[in-house]
Amino acid sequence: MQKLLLLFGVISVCLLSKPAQAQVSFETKLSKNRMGLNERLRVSFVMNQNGDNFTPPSFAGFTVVGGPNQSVSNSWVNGVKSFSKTYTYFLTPNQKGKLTIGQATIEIDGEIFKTSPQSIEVTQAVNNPNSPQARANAIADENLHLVTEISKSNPYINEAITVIYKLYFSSEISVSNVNEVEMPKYGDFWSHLIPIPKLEIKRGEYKGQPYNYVVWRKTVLYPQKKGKLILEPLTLNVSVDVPTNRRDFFGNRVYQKTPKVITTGQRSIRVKDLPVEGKPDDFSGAVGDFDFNVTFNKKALTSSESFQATIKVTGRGNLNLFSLPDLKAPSSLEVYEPEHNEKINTNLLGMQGSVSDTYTVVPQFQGKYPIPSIPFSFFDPVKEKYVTLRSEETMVDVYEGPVAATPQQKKQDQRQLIVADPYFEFIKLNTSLTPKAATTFYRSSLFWTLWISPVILYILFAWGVRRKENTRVDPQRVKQARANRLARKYLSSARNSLGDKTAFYNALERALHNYLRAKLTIETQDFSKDKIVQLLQARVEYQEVIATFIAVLSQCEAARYAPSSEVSMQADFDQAVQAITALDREL
Amino acid sequence: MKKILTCILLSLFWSLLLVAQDDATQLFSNGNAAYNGGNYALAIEKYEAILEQNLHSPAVYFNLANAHYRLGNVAQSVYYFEQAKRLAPEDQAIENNSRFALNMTRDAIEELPTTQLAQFQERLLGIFSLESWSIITLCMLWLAIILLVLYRLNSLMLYKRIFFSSAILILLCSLTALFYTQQKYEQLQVVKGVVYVEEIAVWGEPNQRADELFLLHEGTTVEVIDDLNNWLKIKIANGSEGWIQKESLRLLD
Repeated sequence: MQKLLLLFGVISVCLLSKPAQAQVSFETKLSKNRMGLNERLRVSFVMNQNGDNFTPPSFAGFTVVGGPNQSVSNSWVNGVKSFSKTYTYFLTPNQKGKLTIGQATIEIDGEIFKTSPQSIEVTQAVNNPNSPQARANAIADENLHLVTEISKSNPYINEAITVIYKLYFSSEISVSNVNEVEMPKYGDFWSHLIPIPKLEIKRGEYKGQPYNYVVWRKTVLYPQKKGKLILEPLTLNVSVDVPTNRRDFFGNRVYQKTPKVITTGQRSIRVKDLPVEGKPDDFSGAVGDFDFNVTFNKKALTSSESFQATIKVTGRGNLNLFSLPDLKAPSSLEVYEPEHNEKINTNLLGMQGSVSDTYTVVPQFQGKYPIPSIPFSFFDPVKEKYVTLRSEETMVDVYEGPVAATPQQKKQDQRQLIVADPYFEFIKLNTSLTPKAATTFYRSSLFWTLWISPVILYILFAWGVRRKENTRVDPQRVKQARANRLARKYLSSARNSLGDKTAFYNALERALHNYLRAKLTIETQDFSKDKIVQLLQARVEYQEVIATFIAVLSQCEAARYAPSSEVSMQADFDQAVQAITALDREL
Repeated sequence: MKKILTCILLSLFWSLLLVAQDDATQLFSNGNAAYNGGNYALAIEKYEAILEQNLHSPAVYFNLANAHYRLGNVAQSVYYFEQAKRLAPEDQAIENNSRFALNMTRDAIEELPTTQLAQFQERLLGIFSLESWSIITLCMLWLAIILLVLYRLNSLMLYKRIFFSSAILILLCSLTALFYTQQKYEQLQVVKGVVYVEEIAVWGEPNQRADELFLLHEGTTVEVIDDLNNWLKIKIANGSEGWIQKESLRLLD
């Protein structure tokens, strides 16, 4: 069965291959695709089987200057017959621009075949039409191409892109002696040229055709501006060896050397700005894919030592185009300017490696120093988002040294003094707890009461003492005072009439009588002097008192009939007061 | 009658307090043991339980601050050292350890220079608590009055002179003590706070349209002099003033 299948397969291949050999081809061949207005063009219509009723195209825009020439060739090679029939026309263009050679038709074995239309570009008239030089130039143009390859035409700011310039040349020509006429300047880019140690010719394709190429230049660019950025063209000066139609004595082709200036076109790149959304505050322009860490060479030391803190970013991206975050440390640590270190390799994928800042830190005092965690943010263009990495918070312990702001004790003595270094003291083990929200005693009403009360008490005390002193005076003076009061009571009418002689003495006498009457409690109207003396002598010890009293009475009587001045009236009044007072003391 | 009632109530209150204190003392020693064992987090828990009972003492704040220092909690450590200092301003251990805590802060603020007199006054105020100051004032006043009474009652000229002059002297001392009591009272009225967030901007006005004046970092002690809505006007040790958001600050009790 298998054998049968195999046989069938072989037969079918044989059968199928037979008509393939007899395939008809009918095509247009042009001597050149680009020509000057004053040049001539050869157009050939070639078929591989004999046909009839050939109809040429209209050749619009051209003038037919020669042809049609018909040629037929038959050849036998290794028993295989090949046939070709060609109609050739010579044309000159009538106008500049892009012209088209239309379709020609032919009838082969009763079937109609058509060629495909071909376009041709007609340019300015050339100096030396159809000269070997112009021809060589044209051939060089056709077979030499300088191409710019850009890895990404719409990158983010600071995202690495690579630009590769390739020089393509077909196997027909050979290239020698290439040099750069114009180097592109990458104004809005950070650029890095990747050196190419040796140019290598490689096989490749250009527009579907097999070509040789050389990578002329490789550049890594980091766009620094958003928007449309122009890449300036690269211009090369190339010596090209172009084959001519002539052959040398040995039948080898003669090559013609022609210089050629070739340039890439201007290319533009549209650079995207980094997204605003989600942009961290501490973003410093890092774009790529990074790893971040902060390391310390020691975490426990004495204050006479120093330690180093290294802030390091490793990875791929615009490593030297952003600033590293600063070391944040307590102000009591002395931090010196960092030492910057870059280890960067640049290849076609961009920059790779690490950048680091190494800070030397000197503690001055003992204690614990927390180094807060340091954030580092970058934009990842692949994931199209911001990433923030944070270092771990670290505690640096300075276990020996002076305590902050305490003046250091000076050694006054050569002898070894036992001085305990200041240290972080241990907790207290005893306490007396008090309620937290206790009201303050000061300014409380109790406080003010206790404050004002002694003052009040003292004032009361002082008043009491004075009062007591008043009551302690001798009875003599008290009696005197009472008598004075009495005398004043009885003598008030007399005093009122002081100045009027008769009225005064009458009042005075009556007052004395009234006094006696009140004092001795007698009802009698008889106030003779003898009677008074008699009455008084019974009760009074001192005779002078009685005498004074009687004297005042007789004075009153005498004064009624004798002239008397106001002065004596006053004197009499005073004497009466004295008499009454004295008497009162006795009674 | 009323007095007796208040006496009874007071004694009841004190006895209740004593029961609570017993419990708190236990917590305190537990906290100390945890601290010594290196379990600072547990020690903090114990000490804070004491504070939650509305009891406090300089030692509790001091130990709490030490435990926070050991854990590297900058703001908390500074905060509790400040609390301890407020209760016991002249304690050497508190002063010493609080300097360690200040080492951890990121802000270095140069303090305004003070006169020698002010420094002396500060130290004098620190000797006694407000309570002691007020009691001293009262005791001196009473003593002066007693001496005056003795002066009045005595008749011997020598004694009278001695009593009178000493009474006047002590009365003057009492007035001075009253002055210091008032000073101490005012000192305690000052509201202070500790920055509790890692970094905070201080603004020129209590809104964010104003200029940002400077930045403060965790653990810096500030004086609060005014407030408006959600903002506090603060003054730092070098005399600079500005507005800060309320949440970023923890005020001392």
